[in-house]
Amino acid sequence: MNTQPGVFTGALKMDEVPIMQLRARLKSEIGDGNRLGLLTAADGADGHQLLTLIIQTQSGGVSLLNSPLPHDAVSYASLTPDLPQAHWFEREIADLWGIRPVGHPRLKSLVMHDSYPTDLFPLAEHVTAATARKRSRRAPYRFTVVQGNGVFEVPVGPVHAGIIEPGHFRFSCLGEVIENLEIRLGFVHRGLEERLTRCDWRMMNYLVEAASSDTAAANATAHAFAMENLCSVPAAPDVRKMRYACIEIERAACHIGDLVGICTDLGFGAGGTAFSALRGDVLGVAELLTGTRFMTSVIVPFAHKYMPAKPLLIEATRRLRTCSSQLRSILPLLLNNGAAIERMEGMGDIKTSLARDFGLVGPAGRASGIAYDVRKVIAQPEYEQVEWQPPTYFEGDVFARTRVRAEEAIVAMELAADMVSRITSSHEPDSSPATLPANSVGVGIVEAWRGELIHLVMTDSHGRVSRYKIKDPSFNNWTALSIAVRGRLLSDFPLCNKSFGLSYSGTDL
Amino acid sequence: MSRISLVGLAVTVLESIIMPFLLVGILRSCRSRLQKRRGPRVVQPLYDFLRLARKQTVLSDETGPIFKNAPVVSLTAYGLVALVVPWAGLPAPISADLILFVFLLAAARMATGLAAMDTSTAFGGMGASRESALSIFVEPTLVLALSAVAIYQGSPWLNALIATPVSTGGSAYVLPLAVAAIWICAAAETARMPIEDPVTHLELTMIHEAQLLEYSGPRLALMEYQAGLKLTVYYGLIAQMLINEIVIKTPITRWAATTTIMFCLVVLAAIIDTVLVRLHWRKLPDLLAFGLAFSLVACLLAALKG
Amino acid sequence: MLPSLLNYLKSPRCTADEIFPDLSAANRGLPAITSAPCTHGEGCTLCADGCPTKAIELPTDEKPEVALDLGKCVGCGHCMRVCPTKTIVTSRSTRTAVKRREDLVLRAGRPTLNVDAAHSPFKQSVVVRYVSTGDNATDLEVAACTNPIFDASRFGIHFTASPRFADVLLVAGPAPLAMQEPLCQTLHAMGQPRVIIAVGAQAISGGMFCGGYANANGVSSVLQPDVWVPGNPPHPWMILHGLLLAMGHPLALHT
Repeated sequence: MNTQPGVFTGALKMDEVPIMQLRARLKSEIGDGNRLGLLTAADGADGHQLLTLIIQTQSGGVSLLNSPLPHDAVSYASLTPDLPQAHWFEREIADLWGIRPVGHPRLKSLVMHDSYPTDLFPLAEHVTAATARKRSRRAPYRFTVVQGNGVFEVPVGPVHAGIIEPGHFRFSCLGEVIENLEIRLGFVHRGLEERLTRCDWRMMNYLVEAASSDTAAANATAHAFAMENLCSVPAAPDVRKMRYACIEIERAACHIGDLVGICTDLGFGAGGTAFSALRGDVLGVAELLTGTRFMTSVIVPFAHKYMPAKPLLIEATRRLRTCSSQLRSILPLLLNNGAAIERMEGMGDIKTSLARDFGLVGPAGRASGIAYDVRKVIAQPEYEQVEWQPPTYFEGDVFARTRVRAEEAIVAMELAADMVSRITSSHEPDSSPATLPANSVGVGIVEAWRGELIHLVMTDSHGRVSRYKIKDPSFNNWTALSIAVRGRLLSDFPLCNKSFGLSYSGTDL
Repeated sequence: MSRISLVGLAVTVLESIIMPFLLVGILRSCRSRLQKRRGPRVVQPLYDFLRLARKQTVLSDETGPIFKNAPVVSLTAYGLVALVVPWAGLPAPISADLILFVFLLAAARMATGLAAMDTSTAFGGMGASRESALSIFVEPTLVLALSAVAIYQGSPWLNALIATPVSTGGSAYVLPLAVAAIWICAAAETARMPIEDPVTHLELTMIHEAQLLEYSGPRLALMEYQAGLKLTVYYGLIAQMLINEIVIKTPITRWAATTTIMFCLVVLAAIIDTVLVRLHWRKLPDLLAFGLAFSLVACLLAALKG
Repeated sequence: MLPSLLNYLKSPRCTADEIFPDLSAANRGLPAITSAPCTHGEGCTLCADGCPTKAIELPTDEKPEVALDLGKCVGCGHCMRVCPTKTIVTSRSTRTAVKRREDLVLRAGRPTLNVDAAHSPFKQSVVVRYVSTGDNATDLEVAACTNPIFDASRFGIHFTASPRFADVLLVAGPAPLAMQEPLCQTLHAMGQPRVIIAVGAQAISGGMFCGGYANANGVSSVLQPDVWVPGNPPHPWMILHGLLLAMGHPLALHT
């Protein structure tokens, strides 16, 4: 069953694939232009089930497979050996559901830390006594130890030096050279998916905005599309334009913010100042259109709150165009700067084949030759008014990622200006249904500034939200970071890390 | 002791208390202005010092006596450096040769490095290792550059810098080359761009500051003061060498010219901090090798003249 | 590159001259409570019904006035919009930090800021150790405080990598279980005197995360903050207000 979640098509039908055949099915489907959107678990009619979302990157369709586990079963044959993209998904399922992927090459906890009770599997609710007995307790976390003469470990975090989120990096070094980097996340696991199934569905948008609060607009939009598809209620054209404009402004602001970070990591004060002043201007546009710098609480399912009046829209369009030309004029500070290029070129490179195996998304993927961009793949009429192409490079190094982000920021501001200028009314429509349909699934996929962001919502037989899954783009990209710094120097890590610009809270949820 | 040297001593001591704060304050203020900010006040480093001096010291269980005493040891070393180098534009109160100067710097570096390793943290060890790696280049450069000057003056005593004759012919290049070499040493030793980013928050890229991460309270205050003192002495030394190109009559004008040049050097450092990109760790030897080459050529030129 | 650099060097200073200006007119601001009488007695529950974090306490017989907890408020703007009597209105002030948790609970006729010119060892210089516990928008706003526009350094505020250097522990995010021990360890690595600041609604109350299995109920479940900065995320000026309040800086004290 195919559908296009960017444009309205209504609720998604699930294909049932027996768990025994899932591995073969995915092996044949993924890689052939298709990618694994997400892999997660949910409670089924009789025990747990695995849900697999496959995205056809050529046609733009998606298909959702459900594979019920046998009654009381708490394990299945791991998919990771054939499908490296499933690596972290399976670790997450093991953490939150206690379902064990047998044969997983590196099974350890991802988000559930040792500070939680070892028998707490927070999302597995309808557990029978038999299932509970069969589930093994979570093992304490063990870091991979690199052995050899002169190898030493540098532990960094969870509290990091900069003004960034917490996570732990365990470097195994030989002198200054990084032999292995193990990334331990989960420090900001806030139990978001559990909270989402507990709260009133009308309030869910406030929670999803906090999933990774620097990506509030994209999360709220994906949520809105998921809910609208679930209920088969389409959003008004102006509402869609406003949502996409918000996502594009968020993209521009965040990319410029990371350019500031890259300049700071290069120790390039002049560049840092120039970009941070511009970022302030872009956030000013966001404030003008939505009332906050992070565009929170405006993008809601079935409506758009605080629709700005026409004069504001005209002003925002003008300011966006100014910002875009300003960015063009200051970019040479960083991108034509020989010393900066020397630091970035060839640094932390990810080859295209590796990027494909890990299913890299967003700017990191596009810098490594993966042209996948949700805005192009899944038909969205709002994006077809202007001629544009997502920038793609093949080098996969810090310089390529920086260029992708800089060019995307320019395009984003132009797209946003175009969308804002096309909004015709300031009327705030509201087509909320009274209740949600029972036993339905809705999916929303958008290109957030870090890449493909997926929201999946399921309802039970009473029309209550029984499962809500968010797949943040960073989830796909973290492994690439640890590969990118292998063989590099310790002092190169901050620059590589910033060029990826990943979200910890979006991954940990 | 003559009256001149007593006045010299008093001025040197007074300046080595004031100048570190003032120069660091001016440097930060200039850098802020170049980064289009209002920035901290010039007296901010003094406020920072006073705040740290009043703050409680926190020691981890891993640290031992070396860590606790190193700040005093290195302070003594830098204090002596300030007394043997005629950086203030007046003859130094203690007459010493260039080897003692380099030795004192090395002693301070050793104290800091050992203290960093005494914390038994990964960052401390990393910082100490990086600092020692840099010193492999810095020390010979410094010795050679100062030797070039010594050969040129015909005296290994640092105080001879005060009375250097105006250079002519091929030897006119000796002092500029030595200055360039010492400027590179100063950048490496005082954690300046393009060798180290002085405003970085990232432990992984730190060189000098990684050694200090475990310090707190008054000891940290001492360490920060010493960093300022080191900067002051280096810039004062460079000023002495530059000043020889100008004809200076009286000690007062010499002192005033020195101080002016030091302020100019600080502004130059602020500009470099703003517009340059930090070099990759593997490229640092290239830059430092330039310093070494400059000092070698300076030595040769000076020797040829003799 | 050189023309861009020259242009840059010619550009004027970015730093905002006005300290704690009101937010721009387009900004939604935070709610404030006026003395206009509430019509809850006639059955109006509009504000509380739409509040995602149940931050509004409607009048009861014992407490005849409406109360709004800014520490829970996520700034969605619902209450200011629907209130028919203008009892809840918009405030665009950026002087929002307070020193006592209970001062965040707004009531009619009460000032939002308690002025307390206590002696402070950090009046001229303070070093901040920032710990994020899962609210990366606040991370960005805290980082914005250090940028050339807001320029915290002009007040003598510096951010540091080492907790040993720090006087202020600035915490954002709801402090979920896995971050509680690192938070305590960071605090214990800091020497006295020290100040703890909770920044953002998530840090103050857990925001929307409150009540889950991850114990993401805010910083106060592990530490006792001395200064509270509401907002979701707070505007950089609000964060600077919190920092200056912690410093005992005269700019933060007068209203």
